[in-house]
Amino acid sequence: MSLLEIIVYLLVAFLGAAVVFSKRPINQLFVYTSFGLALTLLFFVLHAPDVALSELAVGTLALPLLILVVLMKTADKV
Amino acid sequence: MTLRGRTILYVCSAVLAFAVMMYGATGLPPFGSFSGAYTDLVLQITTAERHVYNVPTAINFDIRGFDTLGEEFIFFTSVAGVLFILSAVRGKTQTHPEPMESEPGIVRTGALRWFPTGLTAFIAAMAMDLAAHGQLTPGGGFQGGAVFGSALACVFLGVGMHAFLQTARKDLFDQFEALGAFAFGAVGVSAMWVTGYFLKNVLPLGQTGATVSGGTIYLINIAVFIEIASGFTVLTAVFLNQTRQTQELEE
Amino acid sequence: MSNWTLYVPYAIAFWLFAIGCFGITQSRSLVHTILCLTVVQASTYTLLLSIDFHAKAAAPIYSSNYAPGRPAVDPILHALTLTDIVVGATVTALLLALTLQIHRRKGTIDPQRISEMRG
Repeated sequence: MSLLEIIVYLLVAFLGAAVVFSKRPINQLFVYTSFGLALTLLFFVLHAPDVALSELAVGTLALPLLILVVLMKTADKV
Repeated sequence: MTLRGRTILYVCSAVLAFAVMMYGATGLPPFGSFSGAYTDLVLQITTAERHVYNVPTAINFDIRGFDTLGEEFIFFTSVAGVLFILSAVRGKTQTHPEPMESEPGIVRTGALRWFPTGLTAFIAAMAMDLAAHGQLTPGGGFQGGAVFGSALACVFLGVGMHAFLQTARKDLFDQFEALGAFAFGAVGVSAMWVTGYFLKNVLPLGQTGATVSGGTIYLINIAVFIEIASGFTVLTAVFLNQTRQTQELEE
Repeated sequence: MSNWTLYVPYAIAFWLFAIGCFGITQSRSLVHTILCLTVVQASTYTLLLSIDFHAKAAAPIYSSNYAPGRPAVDPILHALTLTDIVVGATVTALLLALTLQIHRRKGTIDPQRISEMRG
């Protein structure tokens, strides 16, 4: 295992824990976007460009948009 | 059960499950040295038999095409479920005519208006390029459709909600999605009508490396792209429509 | 186990699974629960792609430069995973629509308060 793979795996593990332990949902949304980017890096390092394209398109484009709409509608009235 | 009791119970069982899973993982091949008989066979014969360079695309749409048909119907059912749930509330706002820029105080001019609108065309073109060359380069119907689904959201960013809802019309893209799902099944059934095998590759295979190659792989690729792109556009339109109803109900 | 570091990728996949489930038990908001469920899904993709990795093999996309038949990683798991990612995102959208409906009915999206309300 080369150093690149070790670093990317540890990055994915750390960001996965960061998604779970975020306090407010709006913070969690942006940590989730960077978790999607780290997953894309991991899939690319594992010689899987198809899967990396899929995860990039879904995890950073489509899903955060929908989650943002839901957060906007379910926010408490300020 | 209280939160503390739930946490303690979960941590105990998670440690046990983790230990059992790691013990099971010792039976797996060590990282970086996988070899299987089916893998070697598929890699040897796919390009020769199907005239397609992108092996996962050939597996998705031809060798294991039946599994992809099932996944597409999961997609279709989920989008139908979202439409069913979110259209259960029809406010009085549906027939309410509103001006073009319905957000008060936000008037976009200049680069803020035209740059996202130009970006829409660029993203849509790139998505169609990803999908059309699915059998030559990494890509295909699934990736191109997911990218296209967010292309029309740039219209919302640039111009406003009303223009976005006129562009991404729910009923039009709904019909496109149904067309894509139907086309996949129709290709399979017509193959069955010709040769007796469902989803058999019956069209001429073409030359490896040409844009149109692979026979029915190309047709199914286009059908999947139409369905996934329309499905994601419908999802985006329905979700953004929900915010509009809130704003108008509050006024 | 001759070299224990070669099993760390599997441990990281199981770690993601465990930490995602932990987030589901602790969550205070249904959107948080849905994102933790997405982390659990990501752990399965990581495990699938870690199994089929071969260090000396390229991606399973051939071209005129890289002749077909040369060593490549397993393409079947790639095909399975990439359809799974897109369909999993749509099921997450279905869960988000259910969250909106729950908010409309109950007024809150705290899973620990929803079970206390009746009717």
